[in-house]
Amino acid sequence: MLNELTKGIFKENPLLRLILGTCPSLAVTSSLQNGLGMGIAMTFVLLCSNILVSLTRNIVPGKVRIPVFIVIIATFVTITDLSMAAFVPDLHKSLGIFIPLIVVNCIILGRAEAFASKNGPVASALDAIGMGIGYTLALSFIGSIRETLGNGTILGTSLFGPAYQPFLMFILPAGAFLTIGLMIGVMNWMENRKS
Amino acid sequence: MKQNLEIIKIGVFLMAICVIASLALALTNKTTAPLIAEQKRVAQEQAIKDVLPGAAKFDEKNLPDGSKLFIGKNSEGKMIGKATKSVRKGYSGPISIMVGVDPEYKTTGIMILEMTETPGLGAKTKDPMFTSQFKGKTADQLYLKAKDAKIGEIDAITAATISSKAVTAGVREAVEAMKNAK
Repeated sequence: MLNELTKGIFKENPLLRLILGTCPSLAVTSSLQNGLGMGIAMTFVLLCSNILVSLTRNIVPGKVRIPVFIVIIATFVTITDLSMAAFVPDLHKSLGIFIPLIVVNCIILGRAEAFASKNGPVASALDAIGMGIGYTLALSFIGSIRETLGNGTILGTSLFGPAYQPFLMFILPAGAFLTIGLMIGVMNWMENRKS
Repeated sequence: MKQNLEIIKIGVFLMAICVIASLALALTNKTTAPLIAEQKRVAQEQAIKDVLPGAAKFDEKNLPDGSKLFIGKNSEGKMIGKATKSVRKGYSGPISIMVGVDPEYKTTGIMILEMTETPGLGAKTKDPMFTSQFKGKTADQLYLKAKDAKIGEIDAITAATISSKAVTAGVREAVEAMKNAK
């Protein structure tokens, strides 16, 4: 049971090992705050959709399971988006653009199909939390690297003083590809060394 | 025959799922829509207050081009300035700016409401270092110091001339629109 929780953090990290959800990851990791925000919002939707998909796994006909998953996920994302805009407007303002992006995040559909549709609700919830933590950690790490190098700040606070000339490239798309590529390389190297 | 029956069964199932999802969404929308509209109104009011310091309340008027003009009054009811929103195409998308002017049509402040400019370059146009230059300028002074149609008094941001130009032009247009509306 504990394995379902921990596997998403390193061994099956959705971004760095399964290489899922790279599109939103490239787009939002220009700062630590953005990476963290996207990770948390994604974890919430993943948890809700995994539990619901798992609870309904025996009544959904196999032939139409994918459309049903998509309807469930899209409904949750919209409810999350509207409720956040109404009740926590400040948080919604800083996360606003990422919430619609969650719909296209294939990690959620991937976990619904690969895990929640075959396992019970408790295991599915643990899987969602583990995957969410793994994704959030990866995004935060990439976000910190890009923000530090590309803007000379961390969470908006200046690190090296005004004399620092930032590597602007790191907060532009090219920096995202380089950082994620290097991190995937490091993960693969560590995995190979172990075996 | 058996196959047809299965297709109908699946169709009805999908329809049921979609009906439930629509109901959930309609309910959420119904409860949140008035709250969201209120948040938007508060945010807009805050932006007007930021660009028109000292204004206590506002009268709304429609400009001929469809945009809204806000007339700011101080606590004694005296008109202290006007504000309006202008939208101008930047480097990577529209930039919307709230602009305030005093009764002599000199700018009192600007605030970038929305933009999608490049982080680290064009996005710096929303920093106080750039926006504070717009205080106390007349429409004639609202051009860049170089690289613009006329010589003005605004310093462009290095490597972000297009964004700087767009913001300056947006502010100038807003000031002129308010001037012409009197």
